[in-house]
Amino acid sequence: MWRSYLKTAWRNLWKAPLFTLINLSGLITALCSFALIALYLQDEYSYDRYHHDYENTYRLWEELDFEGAGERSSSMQFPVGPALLNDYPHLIEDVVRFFNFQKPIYTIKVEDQMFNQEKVFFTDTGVFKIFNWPLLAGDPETALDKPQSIVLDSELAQKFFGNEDPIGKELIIERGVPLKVTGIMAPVPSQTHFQPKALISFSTLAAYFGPDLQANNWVWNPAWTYIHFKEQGAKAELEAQFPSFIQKYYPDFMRDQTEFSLMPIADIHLESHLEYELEENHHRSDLYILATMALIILIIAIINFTNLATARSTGRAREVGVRKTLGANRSQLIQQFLGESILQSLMAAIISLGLLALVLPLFNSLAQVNLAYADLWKGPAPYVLLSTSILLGFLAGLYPAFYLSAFEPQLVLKGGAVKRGKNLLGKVLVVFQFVLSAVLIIATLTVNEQFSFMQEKDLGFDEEQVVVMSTKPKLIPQIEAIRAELLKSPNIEAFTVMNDIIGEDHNVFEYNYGGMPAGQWQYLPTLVVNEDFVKTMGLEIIAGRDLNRDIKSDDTAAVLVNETLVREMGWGSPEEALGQRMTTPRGRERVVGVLKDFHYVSLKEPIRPFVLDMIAGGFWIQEFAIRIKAGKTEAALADLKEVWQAFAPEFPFDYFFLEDRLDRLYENQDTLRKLVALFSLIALIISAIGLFALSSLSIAQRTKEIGIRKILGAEAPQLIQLLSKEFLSLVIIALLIASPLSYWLLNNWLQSFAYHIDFSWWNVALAAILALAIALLSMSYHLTKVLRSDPVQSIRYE
Amino acid sequence: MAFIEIKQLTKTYRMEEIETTALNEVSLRIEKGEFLALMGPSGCGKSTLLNVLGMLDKADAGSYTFGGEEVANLNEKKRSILRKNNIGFVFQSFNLIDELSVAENIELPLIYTKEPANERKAKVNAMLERMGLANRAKHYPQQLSGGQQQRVAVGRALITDPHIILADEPTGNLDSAHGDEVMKLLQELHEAGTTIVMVTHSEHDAQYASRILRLHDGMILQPSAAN
Repeated sequence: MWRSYLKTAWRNLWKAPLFTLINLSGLITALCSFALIALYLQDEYSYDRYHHDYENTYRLWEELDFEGAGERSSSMQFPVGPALLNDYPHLIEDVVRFFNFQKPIYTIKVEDQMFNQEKVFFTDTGVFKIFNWPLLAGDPETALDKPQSIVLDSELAQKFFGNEDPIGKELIIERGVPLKVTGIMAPVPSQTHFQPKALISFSTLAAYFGPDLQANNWVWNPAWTYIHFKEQGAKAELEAQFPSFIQKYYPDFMRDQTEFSLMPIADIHLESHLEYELEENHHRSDLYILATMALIILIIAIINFTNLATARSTGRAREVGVRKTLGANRSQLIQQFLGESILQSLMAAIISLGLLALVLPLFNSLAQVNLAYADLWKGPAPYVLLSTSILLGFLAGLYPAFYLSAFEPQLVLKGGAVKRGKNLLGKVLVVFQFVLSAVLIIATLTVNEQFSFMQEKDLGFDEEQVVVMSTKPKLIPQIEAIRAELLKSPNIEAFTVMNDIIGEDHNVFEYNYGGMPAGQWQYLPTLVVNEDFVKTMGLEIIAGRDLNRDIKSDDTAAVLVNETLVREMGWGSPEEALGQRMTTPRGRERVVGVLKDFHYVSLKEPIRPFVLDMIAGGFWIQEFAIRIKAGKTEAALADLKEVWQAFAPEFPFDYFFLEDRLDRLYENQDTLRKLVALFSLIALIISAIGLFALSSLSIAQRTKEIGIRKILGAEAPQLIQLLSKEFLSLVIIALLIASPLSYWLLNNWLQSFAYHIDFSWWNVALAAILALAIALLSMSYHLTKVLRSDPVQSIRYE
Repeated sequence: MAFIEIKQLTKTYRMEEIETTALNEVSLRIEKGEFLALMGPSGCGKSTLLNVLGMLDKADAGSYTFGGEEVANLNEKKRSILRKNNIGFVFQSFNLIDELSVAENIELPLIYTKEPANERKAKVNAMLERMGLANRAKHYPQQLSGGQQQRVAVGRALITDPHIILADEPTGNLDSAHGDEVMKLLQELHEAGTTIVMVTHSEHDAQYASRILRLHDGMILQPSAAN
């Protein structure tokens, strides 16, 4: 029996090749998109799940709440980790810290060669017990035991030493500290929330700080701290101890404002959006958006399938009649039709698995990921795909199966045709499909507009034509000399320094102002700069004056603040804020100028009170920023290099453009934007081909009527109106539903941004035009065919 | 000049390997007010000839003048204009639109000739009266007998006052009582001056015509005088 079903199914597929092609291509595209998204989600969810005991491994983070102006820091003070391990050994198996001087790039000297190397971290001995980073050479227990030891990943070892055995070789990092290679690790998998290329023993830091700073500084918090618990219950137990731990160790002014939290290591990649993150993490909500799109695409494909199979049912009425006459009962027929649709969707699944191999490289470059086809088979994705396709075939076949199997044999055999019913379900499905498509179009347009808005919004400073270079400690005392030398070049307009990159990151510093008692501090977001910063960055002063080199006291007695600070302090107008006290541990400072608000971090964050301060000695300075003349980029860079080599010949010349760097803040968004657009387009195409097929069937069923009308004198416009009215009215109903729905969805989404566009009804209008155009376009082929034909072909009745 | 004149009209159909000549250099004149019956065995080409006359189909070669105008090579759009202003059709299978009521079916050609709505209404009512269908106006085709359906079709054909009625086996789907009813209707129209071309298998029906033309294998056999 099954053989006969299979044979019929197979022949039926070939009997109507256009129908089969449309049905299969829709299914294949849908399943392929589904598989791509599944693979992407599988990858995103697999982050940091390969570590030995990841479920009991957490990162400690702290919130310093100073009336909303504190920080949420992903990194901790140096002594926190060891003190926890020391105080709660029955709960904690091990603690591992990472530290990188809050600096992304190190200069490493190997024999005579210099390398500017990213992703170098100082870390504790036990790192390999928590992180599953196997060593290809060296002993993981002892590799980072001694000071001045370094473990390289195999790629870096190859880069530094070629094919020589790297173990035991020496290299030198900044300030001339020599390191010995004690281990080689495999490159860290990309499914990790950060990917170090080299690890240096923590004890090496004594060479920089002496033994005491690390042990006793409970304020500076630059160390990412990971805790591996002994067992599952230990986490809750330790959390209960945090308040007393903080009271015991933290300095007075921080005790009551500090709160610890633990973040499961496997959640960091999608959940952690704190300050000083090791890398920009992704957002779980983005994955929900993509998962929803995968679902929508599947639903659209199911609707196509159901509609087409139902619409085409007339062609199979005779078969049903014959089978019933010969003794088939209804459930056998239902089985047969369900079997057929499952067969089709399985075929589509298998083809889409093949197609996936072809499109994966394209997807990888679009989504900025590195998914391997082989990985598809490691996770649940293929099984999800196959079971989804069976489910899809089942759901899509359900209605047609019941519809077809209900035909009365005597009627279908006598008449040969089934009367065209009202097919309400079909109409509802088409409306639903177009609602989904329209919402996707509107979403794509809105997401695009919002992200463009964020990338193009005026930041309040001029990020173009600014070159940024990492400083070296030996250059700090020579800042004035460097400046003088640089300004000799006609291609360089200004030179300044900063402790963090404006627009990207900042630190917080302590201030005492207003009626605060002496010795109490409020932490405020601050950039440490020099007198040329406002000019170099094109900031605007709305009251008071700029920091001034000629006023010697400015480095200890003057700060600039932003408008928001003035407002939140209740100081009145910017002019009234001038002269307000802003005492710091370095001196009794006062507000000398008020800045127009600017976006000192990404536009995802609102503008809060902000301070620009100078700190004598330049201890905090990390970056040089140089404004170069427009159109003189090459000449300016050459001049820059010359000055650099005059002052720091032992360090490679390295720089980046501020504008490029700030664009990186929106990389994740860019990816999301592209993916949303891609999958919306796919959904739209699948809807369109569904409508194409449906209109062909509908027109085919009305051929005779069209013939009669033509004979009676109907002309093209009247026929077009007649035939398109039904579909267009469905599309219009869909648009009426989609408009408020998308307004509700997208307005909510927009509200999650600190700075956002207003929901644009123009996008709805554009989507409406697009949807109508697509509907008309998919019908036009059949319409023109019918209109051009001789009427006699439509009414052949002999 | 004859109302309709065709010369050397040829039409062939190709089905896979087999070529069938439906019309083989047919020439024919039809005068105004004539009632012409086309007869012949199945497949002799009579329906094809009727379709070409009605501009529903194009011949492959030959000339066709309709009211003095050469129409053999007009495109579908121009033909459709000529059709709706000049020709009424009656089919064996009625070809009514199932979704429209009797009155709406009859009204349909007037919509396409852009008759104003109030005039349409008056004309349709008059036609319903004339066809004896006044009490059936709101019914749908499926609710009528075959004879009634054909009367609707004839009413629809006449509603635009066409110069010529083309009827393709108008009684083919009817029993003899209903068939006679339709033939009498056509006879009345003929007597009132309407030109009619009718394809038929029935010698009985053919006797209503003023001239009978017999076709065989796509050719006209012999002109025959009517009674």
